[in-house]
Amino acid sequence: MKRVSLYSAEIIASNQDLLTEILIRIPAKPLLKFKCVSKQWLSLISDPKFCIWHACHQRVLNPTPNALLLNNFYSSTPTFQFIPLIGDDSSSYSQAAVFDYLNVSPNYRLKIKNSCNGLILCMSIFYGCGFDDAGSELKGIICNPTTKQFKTLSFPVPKFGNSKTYSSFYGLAFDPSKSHHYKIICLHVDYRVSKNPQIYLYSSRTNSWIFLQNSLEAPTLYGFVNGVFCNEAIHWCSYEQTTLYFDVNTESLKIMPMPPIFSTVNRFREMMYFGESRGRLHLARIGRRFIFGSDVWEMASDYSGWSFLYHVSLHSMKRAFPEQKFDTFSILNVLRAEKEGELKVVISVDSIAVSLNVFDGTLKMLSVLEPGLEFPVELGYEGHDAFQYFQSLVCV
Amino acid sequence: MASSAEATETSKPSTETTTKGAKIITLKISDEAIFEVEDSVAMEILVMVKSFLKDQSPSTELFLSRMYWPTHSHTFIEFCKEHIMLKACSTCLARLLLIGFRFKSVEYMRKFFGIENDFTPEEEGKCYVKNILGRVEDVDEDYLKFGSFRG
Repeated sequence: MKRVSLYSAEIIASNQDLLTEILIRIPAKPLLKFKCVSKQWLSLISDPKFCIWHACHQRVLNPTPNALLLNNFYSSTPTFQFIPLIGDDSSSYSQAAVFDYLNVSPNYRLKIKNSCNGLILCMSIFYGCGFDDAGSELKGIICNPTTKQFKTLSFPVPKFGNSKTYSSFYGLAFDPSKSHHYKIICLHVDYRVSKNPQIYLYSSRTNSWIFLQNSLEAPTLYGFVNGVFCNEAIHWCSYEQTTLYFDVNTESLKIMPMPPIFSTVNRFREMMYFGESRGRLHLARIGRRFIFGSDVWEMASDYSGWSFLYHVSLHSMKRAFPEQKFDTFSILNVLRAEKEGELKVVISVDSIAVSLNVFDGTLKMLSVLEPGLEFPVELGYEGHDAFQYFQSLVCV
Repeated sequence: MASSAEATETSKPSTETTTKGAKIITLKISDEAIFEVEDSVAMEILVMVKSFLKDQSPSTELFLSRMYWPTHSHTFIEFCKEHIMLKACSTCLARLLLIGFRFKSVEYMRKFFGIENDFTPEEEGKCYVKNILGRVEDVDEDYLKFGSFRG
Protein backbone atom coordinates (compact mmCIF):
# COMPACT_ATOMS: atom_id res chain seq x y z
CA MET A 1 0.00 0.00 0.00
CA LYS A 2 1.42 3.34 -0.96
CA ARG A 3 0.71 6.22 1.29
CA VAL A 4 1.60 9.76 0.30
CA SER A 5 3.25 11.44 3.22
CA LEU A 6 1.87 14.80 4.18
CA TYR A 7 4.73 16.18 6.20
CA SER A 8 5.36 19.17 4.00
CA ALA A 9 9.11 19.47 4.29
CA GLU A 10 9.63 15.80 3.56
CA ILE A 11 7.41 15.99 0.51
CA ILE A 12 9.53 18.87 -0.72
CA ALA A 13 12.79 17.07 -0.09
CA SER A 14 11.72 14.00 -2.02
CA ASN A 15 10.64 15.92 -5.11
CA GLN A 16 13.33 17.69 -7.13
CA ASP A 17 10.88 20.09 -8.77
CA LEU A 18 9.40 21.15 -5.47
CA LEU A 19 12.80 21.47 -3.87
CA THR A 20 13.83 23.74 -6.73
CA GLU A 21 10.74 25.90 -6.16
CA ILE A 22 11.78 26.37 -2.55
CA LEU A 23 15.48 26.91 -3.15
CA ILE A 24 15.08 29.57 -5.84
CA ARG A 25 13.40 31.73 -3.23
CA ILE A 26 16.36 31.54 -0.87
CA PRO A 27 19.12 34.15 -1.35
CA ALA A 28 22.45 33.08 -2.80
CA LYS A 29 24.63 33.31 0.29
CA PRO A 30 22.69 30.83 2.46
CA LEU A 31 22.34 28.54 -0.56
CA LEU A 32 26.10 28.24 -0.85
CA LYS A 33 26.12 27.02 2.71
CA PHE A 34 23.33 24.54 2.02
CA LYS A 35 25.35 22.88 -0.70
CA CYS A 36 26.75 20.84 2.20
CA VAL A 37 23.37 19.38 3.18
CA SER A 38 23.53 16.38 0.87
CA LYS A 39 24.86 15.26 -2.48
CA GLN A 40 21.51 15.93 -4.09
CA TRP A 41 21.49 19.49 -2.79
CA LEU A 42 25.10 19.99 -3.90
CA SER A 43 24.30 18.77 -7.37
CA LEU A 44 21.14 20.85 -7.66
CA ILE A 45 22.58 24.11 -6.34
CA SER A 46 25.70 23.73 -8.50
CA ASP A 47 23.76 23.14 -11.71
CA PRO A 48 24.27 26.17 -13.98
CA LYS A 49 20.64 25.99 -15.13
CA PHE A 50 19.47 26.17 -11.54
CA CYS A 51 21.77 29.14 -10.94
CA ILE A 52 20.23 31.09 -13.81
CA TRP A 53 16.71 30.16 -12.77
CA HIS A 54 17.59 31.25 -9.24
CA ALA A 55 19.01 34.56 -10.48
CA CYS A 56 15.81 35.30 -12.42
CA HIS A 57 13.69 34.80 -9.35
CA GLN A 58 15.97 36.74 -7.07
CA ARG A 59 15.90 39.70 -9.45
CA VAL A 60 12.16 39.89 -8.93
CA LEU A 61 12.14 39.02 -5.22
CA ASN A 62 15.08 41.24 -4.23
CA PRO A 63 15.54 44.05 -6.74
CA THR A 64 17.52 46.26 -4.36
CA PRO A 65 21.27 45.61 -4.51
CA ASN A 66 22.72 43.85 -1.47
CA ALA A 67 25.58 46.33 -1.26
CA LEU A 68 27.76 48.82 -3.10
CA LEU A 69 31.39 48.17 -3.93
CA LEU A 70 33.72 51.13 -4.23
CA ASN A 71 37.02 51.19 -6.06
CA ASN A 72 40.07 51.62 -3.90
CA PHE A 73 42.96 52.06 -6.21
CA TYR A 74 45.81 52.36 -3.81
CA SER A 75 45.53 49.04 -2.11
CA SER A 76 47.93 46.43 -3.46
CA THR A 77 45.67 43.50 -2.75
CA PRO A 78 42.40 44.01 -4.59
CA THR A 79 40.27 45.53 -1.85
CA PHE A 80 37.04 47.33 -2.35
CA GLN A 81 35.02 49.23 0.16
CA PHE A 82 31.80 47.51 0.90
CA ILE A 83 28.62 49.35 1.82
CA PRO A 84 25.76 47.02 2.80
CA LEU A 85 22.36 48.25 1.70
CA ILE A 86 20.11 45.52 3.00
CA GLY A 87 19.48 44.47 6.54
CA ASP A 88 21.12 45.46 9.75
CA ASP A 89 24.09 43.19 9.35
CA SER A 90 26.56 46.04 9.35
CA SER A 91 28.53 44.55 12.19
CA SER A 92 31.22 47.12 11.60
CA TYR A 93 30.77 50.39 9.80
CA SER A 94 33.90 50.05 7.80
CA GLN A 95 33.88 46.93 5.78
CA ALA A 96 36.20 45.85 3.08
CA ALA A 97 35.75 43.24 0.43
CA VAL A 98 39.07 41.59 -0.19
CA PHE A 99 39.40 39.79 -3.47
CA ASP A 100 42.65 38.05 -2.68
CA TYR A 101 41.49 34.90 -4.43
CA LEU A 102 41.93 36.69 -7.77
CA ASN A 103 45.73 36.25 -7.64
CA VAL A 104 46.58 39.64 -9.05
CA SER A 105 50.32 40.25 -9.30
CA PRO A 106 51.62 43.04 -6.99
CA ASN A 107 52.61 45.33 -9.91
CA TYR A 108 49.03 45.59 -10.95
CA ARG A 109 45.97 47.22 -9.55
CA LEU A 110 42.47 45.96 -10.04
CA LYS A 111 39.76 48.43 -10.80
CA ILE A 112 36.08 47.57 -11.07
CA LYS A 113 34.72 48.81 -14.37
CA ASN A 114 31.22 47.40 -14.45
CA SER A 115 28.82 45.38 -12.41
CA CYS A 116 25.71 43.74 -13.69
CA ASN A 117 23.25 41.39 -11.99
CA GLY A 118 25.75 39.66 -9.76
CA LEU A 119 28.80 39.72 -12.04
CA ILE A 120 31.55 42.31 -11.96
CA LEU A 121 34.16 43.20 -14.55
CA CYS A 122 37.54 44.40 -13.36
CA MET A 123 40.46 45.64 -15.39
CA SER A 124 44.00 44.93 -14.37
CA ILE A 125 46.10 48.05 -14.63
CA PHE A 126 49.80 48.36 -14.41
CA TYR A 127 50.37 50.63 -11.42
CA GLY A 128 52.37 53.74 -12.14
CA CYS A 129 51.06 54.38 -15.61
CA GLY A 130 48.29 56.60 -14.27
CA PHE A 131 44.70 55.84 -15.02
CA ASP A 132 45.15 55.15 -18.67
CA ASP A 133 44.77 51.56 -19.77
CA ALA A 134 48.09 51.72 -21.57
CA GLY A 135 50.32 48.75 -22.06
CA SER A 136 50.80 46.05 -24.59
CA GLU A 137 48.23 43.80 -23.01
CA LEU A 138 44.84 44.53 -21.60
CA LYS A 139 43.70 42.03 -19.04
CA GLY A 140 40.34 41.88 -17.42
CA ILE A 141 38.71 39.65 -14.86
CA ILE A 142 35.07 38.76 -14.80
CA CYS A 143 34.05 37.64 -11.36
CA ASN A 144 31.11 36.57 -9.22
CA PRO A 145 32.01 37.82 -5.74
CA THR A 146 29.43 35.59 -4.04
CA THR A 147 30.79 32.31 -5.35
CA LYS A 148 34.32 33.65 -5.89
CA GLN A 149 34.34 32.17 -9.37
CA PHE A 150 36.31 34.21 -11.87
CA LYS A 151 37.71 34.14 -15.38
CA THR A 152 40.65 36.10 -16.75
CA LEU A 153 40.20 37.57 -20.20
CA SER A 154 42.53 39.21 -22.65
CA PHE A 155 40.99 42.33 -24.04
CA PRO A 156 41.63 43.41 -27.62
CA VAL A 157 44.06 46.27 -28.11
CA PRO A 158 42.83 48.91 -30.55
CA LYS A 159 44.17 49.35 -34.04
CA PHE A 160 45.36 52.94 -33.71
CA GLY A 161 48.65 54.35 -34.84
CA ASN A 162 49.69 55.88 -31.54
CA SER A 163 48.49 53.59 -28.81
CA LYS A 164 48.95 55.99 -25.92
CA THR A 165 46.25 58.56 -26.53
CA TYR A 166 43.12 56.50 -26.80
CA SER A 167 40.32 56.15 -24.27
CA SER A 168 38.55 52.92 -23.49
CA PHE A 169 35.04 52.40 -22.30
CA TYR A 170 33.61 49.13 -21.12
CA GLY A 171 30.25 47.62 -20.53
CA LEU A 172 28.97 44.36 -19.12
CA ALA A 173 25.63 43.05 -20.30
CA PHE A 174 23.99 40.24 -18.38
CA ASP A 175 20.30 39.60 -17.95
CA PRO A 176 19.52 36.13 -16.61
CA SER A 177 15.88 36.43 -17.64
CA LYS A 178 16.91 36.84 -21.27
CA SER A 179 20.01 34.72 -21.67
CA HIS A 180 22.34 32.37 -19.82
CA HIS A 181 25.29 34.20 -21.28
CA TYR A 182 26.89 37.57 -20.73
CA LYS A 183 28.51 39.97 -23.14
CA ILE A 184 31.30 42.46 -22.68
CA ILE A 185 31.56 45.56 -24.82
CA CYS A 186 34.86 47.32 -25.28
CA LEU A 187 34.98 50.69 -27.02
CA HIS A 188 38.29 52.21 -27.97
CA VAL A 189 38.26 55.75 -29.26
CA ASP A 190 41.04 58.18 -30.05
CA TYR A 191 39.34 61.55 -30.29
CA ARG A 192 42.38 63.13 -31.90
CA VAL A 193 42.15 60.72 -34.78
CA SER A 194 38.49 59.98 -35.35
CA LYS A 195 35.15 60.13 -33.61
CA ASN A 196 34.27 56.57 -34.62
CA PRO A 197 34.82 54.20 -31.74
CA GLN A 198 36.21 50.76 -32.43
CA ILE A 199 33.82 48.22 -30.99
CA TYR A 200 34.81 44.84 -29.71
CA LEU A 201 32.24 42.44 -28.39
CA TYR A 202 32.86 39.38 -26.22
CA SER A 203 30.29 36.68 -25.66
CA SER A 204 30.59 34.05 -22.97
CA ARG A 205 28.72 31.69 -25.26
CA THR A 206 31.53 31.64 -27.82
CA ASN A 207 34.28 32.69 -25.37
CA SER A 208 35.71 34.95 -28.05
CA TRP A 209 35.85 38.56 -29.21
CA ILE A 210 34.48 39.93 -32.46
CA PHE A 211 35.20 43.28 -34.05
CA LEU A 212 32.10 45.18 -35.12
CA GLN A 213 32.09 47.56 -38.04
CA ASN A 214 30.98 50.97 -36.93
CA SER A 215 30.35 54.16 -38.84
CA LEU A 216 28.61 56.07 -36.09
CA GLU A 217 30.39 59.14 -34.82
CA ALA A 218 30.42 59.29 -31.07
CA PRO A 219 30.09 62.35 -28.89
CA THR A 220 32.91 62.83 -26.40
CA LEU A 221 32.18 60.44 -23.58
CA TYR A 222 32.63 61.30 -19.94
CA GLY A 223 35.83 59.64 -18.94
CA PHE A 224 35.13 58.58 -15.40
CA VAL A 225 32.03 56.53 -15.89
CA ASN A 226 31.77 53.17 -17.56
CA GLY A 227 28.85 51.59 -19.27
CA VAL A 228 25.58 51.09 -17.43
CA PHE A 229 23.40 48.15 -18.41
CA CYS A 230 19.72 48.92 -18.58
CA ASN A 231 16.91 47.50 -20.72
CA GLU A 232 19.17 45.34 -22.87
CA ALA A 233 21.60 48.11 -23.73
CA ILE A 234 24.82 49.56 -22.40
CA HIS A 235 24.76 53.31 -21.88
CA TRP A 236 27.56 55.79 -21.44
CA CYS A 237 27.23 59.47 -20.68
CA SER A 238 28.85 62.48 -22.25
CA TYR A 239 29.18 66.24 -21.81
CA GLU A 240 27.46 67.00 -25.05
CA GLN A 241 23.83 67.15 -26.08
CA THR A 242 23.81 63.51 -27.08
CA THR A 243 25.46 60.36 -25.88
CA LEU A 244 26.01 56.81 -26.89
CA TYR A 245 24.44 53.48 -26.13
CA PHE A 246 24.97 49.98 -27.43
CA ASP A 247 21.94 47.84 -28.19
CA VAL A 248 23.00 44.34 -27.14
CA ASN A 249 20.37 42.55 -29.21
CA THR A 250 21.02 44.25 -32.54
CA GLU A 251 24.71 44.72 -31.66
CA SER A 252 24.73 48.31 -32.82
CA LEU A 253 25.66 51.70 -31.45
CA LYS A 254 22.96 54.31 -31.16
CA ILE A 255 22.57 57.91 -30.08
CA MET A 256 20.39 59.15 -27.26
CA PRO A 257 19.90 62.65 -25.79
CA MET A 258 21.59 64.02 -22.68
CA PRO A 259 19.78 66.45 -20.40
CA PRO A 260 20.53 70.11 -21.15
CA ILE A 261 22.23 70.81 -17.85
CA PHE A 262 25.87 71.39 -18.54
CA SER A 263 27.34 74.83 -18.72
CA THR A 264 29.81 75.28 -21.52
CA VAL A 265 32.37 76.87 -19.24
CA ASN A 266 33.01 74.12 -16.73
CA ARG A 267 32.05 71.18 -18.85
CA PHE A 268 35.09 69.07 -18.30
CA ARG A 269 35.25 69.58 -14.61
CA GLU A 270 31.71 68.50 -13.90
CA MET A 271 31.44 65.24 -12.03
CA MET A 272 28.50 63.00 -12.65
CA TYR A 273 26.56 60.18 -11.19
CA PHE A 274 25.23 57.92 -13.93
CA GLY A 275 23.46 54.74 -12.98
CA GLU A 276 20.49 52.46 -13.24
CA SER A 277 17.74 51.35 -10.92
CA ARG A 278 14.75 49.14 -11.71
CA GLY A 279 15.04 49.61 -15.44
CA ARG A 280 15.51 53.39 -15.49
CA LEU A 281 18.62 55.47 -16.04
CA HIS A 282 19.51 58.25 -13.63
CA LEU A 283 21.94 61.12 -13.84
CA ALA A 284 23.01 63.81 -11.43
CA ARG A 285 25.84 66.25 -11.05
CA ILE A 286 27.96 65.77 -7.99
CA GLY A 287 31.01 67.23 -6.35
CA ARG A 288 31.95 70.18 -4.25
CA ARG A 289 29.90 72.62 -6.31
CA PHE A 290 26.70 70.77 -5.52
CA ILE A 291 27.09 70.61 -1.80
CA PHE A 292 23.87 72.57 -1.45
CA GLY A 293 21.91 70.07 -3.46
CA SER A 294 21.70 68.38 -6.78
CA ASP A 295 18.99 67.49 -9.26
CA VAL A 296 18.48 63.87 -10.25
CA TRP A 297 17.26 63.27 -13.78
CA GLU A 298 15.55 60.16 -15.09
CA MET A 299 15.49 58.91 -18.66
CA ALA A 300 12.13 58.10 -20.25
CA SER A 301 11.61 54.44 -21.07
CA ASP A 302 11.32 55.21 -24.79
CA TYR A 303 14.53 57.27 -24.83
CA SER A 304 12.61 60.37 -25.83
CA GLY A 305 14.31 62.50 -23.22
CA TRP A 306 15.27 63.11 -19.64
CA SER A 307 13.00 64.54 -17.01
CA PHE A 308 13.69 66.02 -13.63
CA LEU A 309 13.03 63.41 -10.95
CA TYR A 310 13.84 65.02 -7.62
CA HIS A 311 16.21 67.35 -5.87
CA VAL A 312 18.66 65.82 -3.42
CA SER A 313 19.39 68.28 -0.66
CA LEU A 314 21.58 67.93 2.35
CA HIS A 315 19.22 69.68 4.78
CA SER A 316 18.73 66.59 6.89
CA MET A 317 22.48 65.99 7.01
CA LYS A 318 23.02 69.53 8.24
CA ARG A 319 20.31 69.11 10.85
CA ALA A 320 21.86 65.87 12.03
CA PHE A 321 25.38 67.30 12.15
CA PRO A 322 24.92 71.02 12.80
CA GLU A 323 28.56 71.72 13.70
CA GLN A 324 29.93 69.97 10.66
CA LYS A 325 31.00 71.86 7.60
CA PHE A 326 30.74 69.52 4.68
CA ASP A 327 33.35 69.65 2.03
CA THR A 328 32.67 66.95 -0.50
CA PHE A 329 29.52 65.38 -1.74
CA SER A 330 28.88 62.51 -4.07
CA ILE A 331 25.96 60.36 -5.07
CA LEU A 332 26.79 56.68 -4.95
CA ASN A 333 23.51 55.14 -5.94
CA VAL A 334 19.97 56.14 -6.75
CA LEU A 335 17.44 53.56 -5.64
CA ARG A 336 14.08 53.73 -7.26
CA ALA A 337 11.37 51.85 -5.43
CA GLU A 338 7.99 50.47 -6.35
CA LYS A 339 6.23 52.84 -4.04
CA GLU A 340 6.62 56.57 -4.59
CA GLY A 341 7.35 57.34 -0.96
CA GLU A 342 10.46 55.21 -0.91
CA LEU A 343 12.89 56.93 -3.24
CA LYS A 344 16.29 56.62 -1.70
CA VAL A 345 19.68 57.96 -2.57
CA VAL A 346 22.93 56.63 -1.20
CA ILE A 347 25.26 59.58 -0.82
CA SER A 348 28.73 60.11 0.51
CA VAL A 349 29.42 63.31 2.37
CA ASP A 350 33.04 63.75 3.35
CA SER A 351 33.91 60.31 4.65
CA ILE A 352 30.56 58.85 5.50
CA ALA A 353 28.00 57.07 3.39
CA VAL A 354 24.35 57.49 4.24
CA SER A 355 21.09 56.41 2.76
CA LEU A 356 18.76 59.34 2.38
CA ASN A 357 15.03 59.03 1.87
CA VAL A 358 14.31 61.86 -0.50
CA PHE A 359 10.75 62.50 0.53
CA ASP A 360 10.89 62.53 4.29
CA GLY A 361 14.56 63.33 4.70
CA THR A 362 15.27 60.39 7.00
CA LEU A 363 18.87 59.31 7.14
CA LYS A 364 20.39 55.96 7.73
CA MET A 365 24.07 55.74 8.46
CA LEU A 366 25.65 53.10 6.28
CA SER A 367 29.39 53.18 6.37
CA VAL A 368 32.55 55.10 7.11
CA LEU A 369 34.58 55.52 3.95
CA GLU A 370 38.28 55.16 3.52
CA PRO A 371 39.86 58.13 1.84
CA GLY A 372 41.52 55.87 -0.71
CA LEU A 373 40.48 57.79 -3.75
CA GLU A 374 41.52 56.81 -7.20
CA PHE A 375 42.73 60.13 -8.41
CA PRO A 376 44.94 62.85 -6.95
CA VAL A 377 42.86 65.55 -5.31
CA GLU A 378 44.45 68.22 -7.54
CA LEU A 379 42.46 66.90 -10.44
CA GLY A 380 39.31 67.90 -8.64
CA TYR A 381 37.67 64.51 -8.85
CA GLU A 382 36.54 63.57 -5.42
CA GLY A 383 33.91 60.98 -6.03
CA HIS A 384 33.91 57.28 -5.54
CA ASP A 385 33.03 54.84 -8.26
CA ALA A 386 30.23 52.81 -6.74
CA PHE A 387 29.00 49.54 -8.20
CA GLN A 388 25.89 47.63 -7.33
CA TYR A 389 26.51 44.21 -5.85
CA PHE A 390 23.86 41.52 -6.04
CA GLN A 391 24.32 38.15 -4.38
CA SER A 392 24.13 35.57 -7.09
CA LEU A 393 25.09 32.01 -7.96
CA VAL A 394 25.54 32.49 -11.68
CA CYS A 395 28.53 30.88 -13.28
CA VAL A 396 31.20 32.94 -14.89
CA MET B 1 -1.40 4.08 -11.11
CA ALA B 2 -4.84 2.64 -11.78
CA SER B 3 -6.22 3.92 -15.05
CA SER B 4 -9.81 3.46 -14.16
CA ALA B 5 -10.26 4.56 -10.64
CA GLU B 6 -13.46 4.14 -8.81
CA ALA B 7 -14.48 6.49 -6.13
CA THR B 8 -15.75 3.89 -3.79
CA GLU B 9 -18.35 5.77 -1.92
CA THR B 10 -18.03 3.01 0.56
CA SER B 11 -14.40 3.94 1.24
CA LYS B 12 -14.21 4.79 4.86
CA PRO B 13 -12.55 8.13 5.17
CA SER B 14 -10.29 8.14 8.14
CA THR B 15 -9.27 11.39 9.65
CA GLU B 16 -5.97 12.41 11.08
CA THR B 17 -4.69 15.83 11.83
CA THR B 18 -1.58 17.50 10.53
CA THR B 19 0.59 19.59 12.77
CA LYS B 20 -1.15 22.63 11.32
CA GLY B 21 -4.51 21.34 12.51
CA ALA B 22 -6.14 20.59 9.15
CA LYS B 23 -8.20 17.43 8.95
CA ILE B 24 -6.90 14.67 6.73
CA ILE B 25 -9.29 12.53 4.74
CA THR B 26 -8.08 9.22 3.42
CA LEU B 27 -9.44 8.38 0.02
CA LYS B 28 -9.02 4.80 -1.06
CA ILE B 29 -9.19 4.58 -4.82
CA SER B 30 -8.10 1.01 -5.00
CA ASP B 31 -5.85 -1.28 -3.05
CA GLU B 32 -2.92 0.28 -4.82
CA ALA B 33 -3.97 3.86 -4.61
CA ILE B 34 -4.68 5.44 -1.30
CA PHE B 35 -4.51 9.17 -0.93
CA GLU B 36 -4.49 11.26 2.14
CA VAL B 37 -5.81 14.70 1.35
CA GLU B 38 -6.61 17.69 3.47
CA ASP B 39 -10.27 18.29 4.02
CA SER B 40 -10.29 21.39 1.82
CA VAL B 41 -9.07 19.27 -1.10
CA ALA B 42 -11.65 16.60 -0.37
CA MET B 43 -14.38 19.25 -0.40
CA GLU B 44 -13.29 20.50 -3.79
CA ILE B 45 -13.30 16.97 -5.15
CA LEU B 46 -16.80 16.50 -3.83
CA VAL B 47 -17.99 19.68 -5.55
CA MET B 48 -16.49 18.54 -8.84
CA VAL B 49 -17.98 15.09 -8.62
CA LYS B 50 -21.39 16.56 -7.87
CA SER B 51 -21.24 18.90 -10.85
CA PHE B 52 -20.09 16.01 -13.03
CA LEU B 53 -23.02 13.92 -11.92
CA LYS B 54 -25.44 16.71 -12.78
CA ASP B 55 -24.40 16.52 -16.41
CA GLN B 56 -24.14 12.78 -16.75
CA SER B 57 -26.67 10.06 -16.29
CA PRO B 58 -25.69 8.52 -13.02
CA SER B 59 -24.22 5.07 -13.01
CA THR B 60 -23.08 2.97 -10.17
CA GLU B 61 -19.48 3.26 -11.15
CA LEU B 62 -17.80 6.62 -11.40
CA PHE B 63 -14.58 6.70 -13.32
CA LEU B 64 -12.83 9.57 -11.74
CA SER B 65 -9.82 9.38 -14.00
CA ARG B 66 -11.99 10.19 -16.98
CA MET B 67 -13.42 13.25 -15.43
CA TYR B 68 -12.14 16.53 -16.66
CA TRP B 69 -10.50 18.29 -13.76
CA PRO B 70 -10.57 22.03 -14.26
CA THR B 71 -7.02 22.73 -13.34
CA HIS B 72 -4.57 21.69 -16.05
CA SER B 73 -6.83 18.88 -17.26
CA HIS B 74 -5.11 16.36 -15.08
CA THR B 75 -6.38 13.09 -13.83
CA PHE B 76 -7.92 12.83 -10.42
CA ILE B 77 -4.75 11.44 -8.92
CA GLU B 78 -2.62 14.26 -10.24
CA PHE B 79 -5.16 16.77 -9.06
CA CYS B 80 -4.84 15.46 -5.50
CA LYS B 81 -1.08 15.42 -5.69
CA GLU B 82 -0.88 18.94 -7.06
CA HIS B 83 -3.10 20.34 -4.35
CA ILE B 84 -1.09 18.66 -1.69
CA MET B 85 2.19 19.71 -3.25
CA LEU B 86 1.22 23.36 -3.61
CA LYS B 87 0.04 23.46 -0.05
CA ALA B 88 3.22 21.72 1.09
CA CYS B 89 5.36 24.24 -0.80
CA SER B 90 3.74 27.30 0.70
CA THR B 91 3.68 25.77 4.19
CA CYS B 92 7.33 24.86 3.91
CA LEU B 93 8.36 28.31 2.72
CA ALA B 94 6.40 29.96 5.50
CA ARG B 95 8.05 27.75 8.09
CA LEU B 96 11.50 28.39 6.66
CA LEU B 97 10.93 32.12 6.92
CA LEU B 98 9.68 31.78 10.47
CA ILE B 99 12.70 29.86 11.66
CA GLY B 100 15.09 32.30 10.01
CA PHE B 101 16.72 29.78 7.72
CA ARG B 102 19.64 32.07 6.83
CA PHE B 103 21.11 31.67 10.27
CA LYS B 104 20.57 27.96 10.55
CA SER B 105 23.28 25.40 10.19
CA VAL B 106 23.50 22.70 7.59
CA GLU B 107 22.64 20.09 10.20
CA TYR B 108 19.48 21.98 11.13
CA MET B 109 18.35 21.97 7.51
CA ARG B 110 18.93 18.24 7.30
CA LYS B 111 16.68 17.66 10.30
CA PHE B 112 14.09 20.09 8.98
CA PHE B 113 13.77 18.26 5.68
CA GLY B 114 14.44 14.80 7.04
CA ILE B 115 17.47 14.35 4.81
CA GLU B 116 20.26 11.91 5.45
CA ASN B 117 23.80 13.15 5.17
CA ASP B 118 25.32 11.09 2.36
CA PHE B 119 28.72 12.80 2.33
CA THR B 120 31.79 11.12 3.70
CA PRO B 121 33.57 13.29 6.30
CA GLU B 122 36.28 14.14 3.75
CA GLU B 123 33.76 15.12 1.09
CA GLU B 124 31.83 17.21 3.55
CA GLY B 125 34.99 18.92 4.73
CA LYS B 126 35.91 19.86 1.16
CA CYS B 127 32.42 21.17 0.53
CA TYR B 128 32.55 23.22 3.70
CA VAL B 129 35.92 24.78 2.88
CA LYS B 130 34.97 25.52 -0.70
CA ASN B 131 31.55 26.97 -0.13
CA ILE B 132 31.43 28.31 3.38
CA LEU B 133 34.80 29.72 4.37
CA GLY B 134 36.24 33.00 3.24
CA ARG B 135 33.30 35.23 2.51
CA VAL B 136 33.32 38.67 0.86
CA GLU B 137 31.71 40.25 3.90
CA ASP B 138 32.54 39.62 7.52
CA VAL B 139 31.98 36.01 8.46
CA ASP B 140 28.63 35.45 10.15
CA GLU B 141 28.65 34.28 13.70
CA ASP B 142 26.68 31.27 12.64
CA TYR B 143 29.56 30.12 10.46
CA LEU B 144 31.90 30.29 13.39
CA LYS B 145 29.53 28.14 15.42
CA PHE B 146 29.42 25.62 12.61
CA GLY B 147 32.24 23.78 14.25
CA SER B 148 31.61 20.10 14.04
CA PHE B 149 29.75 19.61 10.84
CA ARG B 150 29.71 15.92 11.42
CA GLY B 151 26.77 16.75 13.70
